Amino acid sequence: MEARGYVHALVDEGSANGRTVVLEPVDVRPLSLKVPTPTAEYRSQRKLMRAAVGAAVPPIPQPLPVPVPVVRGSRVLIWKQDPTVGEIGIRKAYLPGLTLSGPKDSRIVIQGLPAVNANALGDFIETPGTDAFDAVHTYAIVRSTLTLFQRALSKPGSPVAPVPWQWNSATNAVPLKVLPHASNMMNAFYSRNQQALQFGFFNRPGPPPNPLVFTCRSLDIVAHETGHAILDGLKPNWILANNPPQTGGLHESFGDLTAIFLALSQLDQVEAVIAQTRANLHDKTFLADLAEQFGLALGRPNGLRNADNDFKLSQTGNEVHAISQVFTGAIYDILADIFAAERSSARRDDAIVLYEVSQYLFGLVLRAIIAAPATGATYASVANQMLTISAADGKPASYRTFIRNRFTLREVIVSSTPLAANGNSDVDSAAAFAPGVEDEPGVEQNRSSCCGTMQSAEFNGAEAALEDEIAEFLKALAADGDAGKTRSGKSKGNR
Amino acid sequence: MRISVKRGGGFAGLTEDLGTVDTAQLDPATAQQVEQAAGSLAAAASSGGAAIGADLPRYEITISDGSEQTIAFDDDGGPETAPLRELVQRVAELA
Repeated sequence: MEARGYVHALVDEGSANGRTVVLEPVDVRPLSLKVPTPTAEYRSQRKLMRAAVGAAVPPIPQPLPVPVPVVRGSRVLIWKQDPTVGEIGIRKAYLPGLTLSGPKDSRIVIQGLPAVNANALGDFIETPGTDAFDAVHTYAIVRSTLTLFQRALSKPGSPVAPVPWQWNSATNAVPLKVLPHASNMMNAFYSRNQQALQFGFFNRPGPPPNPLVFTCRSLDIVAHETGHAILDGLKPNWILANNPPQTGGLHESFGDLTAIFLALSQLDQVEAVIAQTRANLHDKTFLADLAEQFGLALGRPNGLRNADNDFKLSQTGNEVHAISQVFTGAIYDILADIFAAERSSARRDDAIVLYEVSQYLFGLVLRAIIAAPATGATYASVANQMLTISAADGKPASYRTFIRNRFTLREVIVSSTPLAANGNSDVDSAAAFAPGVEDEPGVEQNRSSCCGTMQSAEFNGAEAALEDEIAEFLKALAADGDAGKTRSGKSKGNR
Repeated sequence: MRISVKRGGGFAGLTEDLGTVDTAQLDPATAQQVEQAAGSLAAAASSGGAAIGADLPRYEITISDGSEQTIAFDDDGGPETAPLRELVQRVAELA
């Protein structure tokens, strides 16, 4: 069949007014699908020409002055959870601050293992399973945890929040010592007296083989102990054993919540949680399972402790780790509630929403804890602070309903009005809820058993930079006089 | 002298019975070492300040030698509790 069209035949007809182009119908034949491409010879010649011409072009003048970007950060290789959590495994992470051989910085120093030096790029990339990897991993988690709190407590326009250790003052910048392979023990702890975090290692109990389990390889355990050290700087009286059990429980819960919020501050972990749980935080997830490898060594498939629990105050007794699960569980439920309410998968990625919700809730819990009494704090006192601060932040009423509901169900507070299942009824932010189950007067905490519970920096000015950081830290502490007064808990006690 | 050691507290809150040693059943040299360690432990307990920290392991050491005495320690890894660690290690090895 003959095809006709008006495509290629242009007939030029002269006229008094100039030229007239007339389109004549022509035969339209199938076009060749061959697209002309330059030959290799042509491309090579063109490349040479561009290089030659380009080289002759004077450089574009740079506006002056040009600040030279200082790249001080290091890349590290870390367990994102621990060696048994295959969901996320080992990943590279970036620590934006100055890290020296050890590793160490102005606030943290690794001890007890041979010092690890950065490679030529200033990175600490070590082989998993080695002492050097453990040193870098442990340092990186402690550093990331401290940074998490510094960011949460920073004010716009102000320098980085100091977040001092308990012993720091305007004249004392002694860093926290961290011992990744402290000794053969099935434990890890924070010691104010030793100004240290110590991480033990042990042979897995049970029938052979009994491989070594290193507590320092767990993000949860390292973050938990760092949380203790940070809270001891913020609320120095809370760690003393003469506080009621709930205050001890708040300390332990703060450690576990630190591990959860640290994981949620890392975007890859947030995405992994969303994928693992299909955006339902009450599905089984490494986020709620705490210290998985340690737990598995004891035959517990859901971690040593689990934040997604239903414990109530009347069920847990006075042991600090057991009672801590009530507060941790309530905060985890509130996280899940607010996330479910804020989700809008058609408009925004679930991972972004979870990240933002967790950032807000972390700051809320932290501010509530700071505002709670300096001694003898109860769960109810922190819950009521959360309600007050949430209202002051202008957050939706549903946030306060979630907080009220969850703490009521766990017998932390007594609600004066019926609970609203849908989270739509407002909670009077001015009203403080009465405590639910309280510690018996004079009862002591039980802490004895529980439910289970760069090129070498020294030669390139980095040491001087470290001294500068320490000077800045001391300056910040001196300027933070009021905060220093509230941190003056120097009384001795036993824990 | 009978010496029993239990360990509790810590990050996991586990309670472990680390064992019991009867020095009468040991060779004289080892028995003397263990009894000396137990003696220095009692002295350390009366002079030592309280350890402050979180998740510290807690040891309960019961010494029976005619009378019974139980000493409880929170071990923060410091020099003050070095006699404790020495005794605990010896008992764990011998029990």
